[in-house]
Amino acid sequence: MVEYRGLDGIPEDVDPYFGIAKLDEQLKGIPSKKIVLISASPSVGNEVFGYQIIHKNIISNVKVLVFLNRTSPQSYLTEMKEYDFPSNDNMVIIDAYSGITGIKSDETDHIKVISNPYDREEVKSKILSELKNGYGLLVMDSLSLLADFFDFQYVNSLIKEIQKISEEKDAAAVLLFTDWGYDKDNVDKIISEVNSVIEVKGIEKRVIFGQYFAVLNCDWVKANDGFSSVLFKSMKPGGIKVYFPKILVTGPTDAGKSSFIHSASHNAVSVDKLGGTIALDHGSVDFEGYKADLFGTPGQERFDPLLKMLGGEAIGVFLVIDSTKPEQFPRAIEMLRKTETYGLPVVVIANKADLKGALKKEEIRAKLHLDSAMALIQTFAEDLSKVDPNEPTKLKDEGVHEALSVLFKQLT
Amino acid sequence: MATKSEQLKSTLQRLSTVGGIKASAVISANGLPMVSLMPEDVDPNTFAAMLASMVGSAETALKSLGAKNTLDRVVAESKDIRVVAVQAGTDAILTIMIDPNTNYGLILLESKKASDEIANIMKQ
Repeated sequence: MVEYRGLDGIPEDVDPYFGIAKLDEQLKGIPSKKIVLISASPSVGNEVFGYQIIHKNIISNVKVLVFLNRTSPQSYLTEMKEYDFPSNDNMVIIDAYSGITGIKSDETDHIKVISNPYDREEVKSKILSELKNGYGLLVMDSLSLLADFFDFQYVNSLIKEIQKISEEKDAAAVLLFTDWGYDKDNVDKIISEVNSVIEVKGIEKRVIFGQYFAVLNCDWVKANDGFSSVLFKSMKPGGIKVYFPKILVTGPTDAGKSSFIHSASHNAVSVDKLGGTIALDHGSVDFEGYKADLFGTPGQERFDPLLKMLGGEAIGVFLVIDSTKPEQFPRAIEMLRKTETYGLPVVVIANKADLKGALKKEEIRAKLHLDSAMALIQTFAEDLSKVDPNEPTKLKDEGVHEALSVLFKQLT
Repeated sequence: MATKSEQLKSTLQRLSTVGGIKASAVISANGLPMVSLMPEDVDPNTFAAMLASMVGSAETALKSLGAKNTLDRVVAESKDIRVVAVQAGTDAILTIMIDPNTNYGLILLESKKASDEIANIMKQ
């Protein structure tokens, strides 16, 4: 692997450059002198990637130059703010848009204006001369519009020049590109000029309708079996989140499934009567750049006919058990079978681990016949004195967070 | 060729021109939203999960009573909102939220047509 220099120069302390979960994990950020192309299909759009990358870097004190020909600087900044990405002094915009619309734009410290965006030479020289002023990152929104304006030959030579200056000045670049059905040769040529290509597309697999990104290639990280594609959701505010549409939470009666869902998510809804869930719990989790929808099943046996429906399309499972009730363990395994989720990544949550008579981790493992690779995490009530049998109990964050991060790691 | 989600969306848009339909969505039988035309303050994820569980429960209840045919629709009513969930093939459910003081018969007819369309799109 090519040596990666973190933003602060300490190789162990790898500061993310993308600010997007999973992308930073796969690519270890964007090292300087590298050019990344983010290529999107028209139905999806890649502008939020731009906002998020810009924001991540300006708050880490990296100077970012933004070439903008898609919209006006004002509406760009407003849009960024709507995603909760406010700008700061580290961000400078080259405005190649106002000149097209005829709206007068005043040059300020943070907005440089291209007076005639139809002038090939002015556009090029403005970008290149500004880039020499010590920026860590150049973001272009959008490269495809520039190709529409001039031609692909122009764009290719511009990328070459940017590469040259990036080498001299230790800068990196992110180019946003929307593929409106261009000639394949032209697109391939651009792809051959850059160091990494990230593809953003829509997915329609059976009933999963969503969006994904995938690293097509990258010359500074070796991935022997390629990079996995990642489902994401664009949240306003919040930006790009890695998304898991359905994670099942199951387990025997009164183990704490609803408690887990309510503790992990911010907007959980339960269908229950007198403390027991009768149809399902649902909650959205927003955790460290990941977003997941949790579906909780009822635990009582008389609702078993519903389990199969709830388990459909799930991609991971939390199996919640009561650490003090080993007699329920066979039921827990039976529920995994009934939800038809056997074989998916499973994290076992041993709840009520702080109660008297709770079994130790090893004892639970032995009694459940767990594979040693399967994760088992203990959770505790935040405050035992507040436990109300008719309400979901608030669980301590540490166990809940550990469980989430372990399952999310297995899923991507 | 339009993508599936574009086709589903245009079916919903056509349906929404019928008077009284306030919101509509196509969800999977497993409770995931596929496409939706919803007011901004409604979370489509929660809505889809709840509706699918209603349909699933109703289906199970009917079967246990000896129903021979599959479930056609589930209706939930309050004074200000009526929600109708219509089966659209095996994988999808069409859900619509309507004003109860409108021409219910017409809406049921139109939603049946739309659900057949959706079933066809899903089969592609």
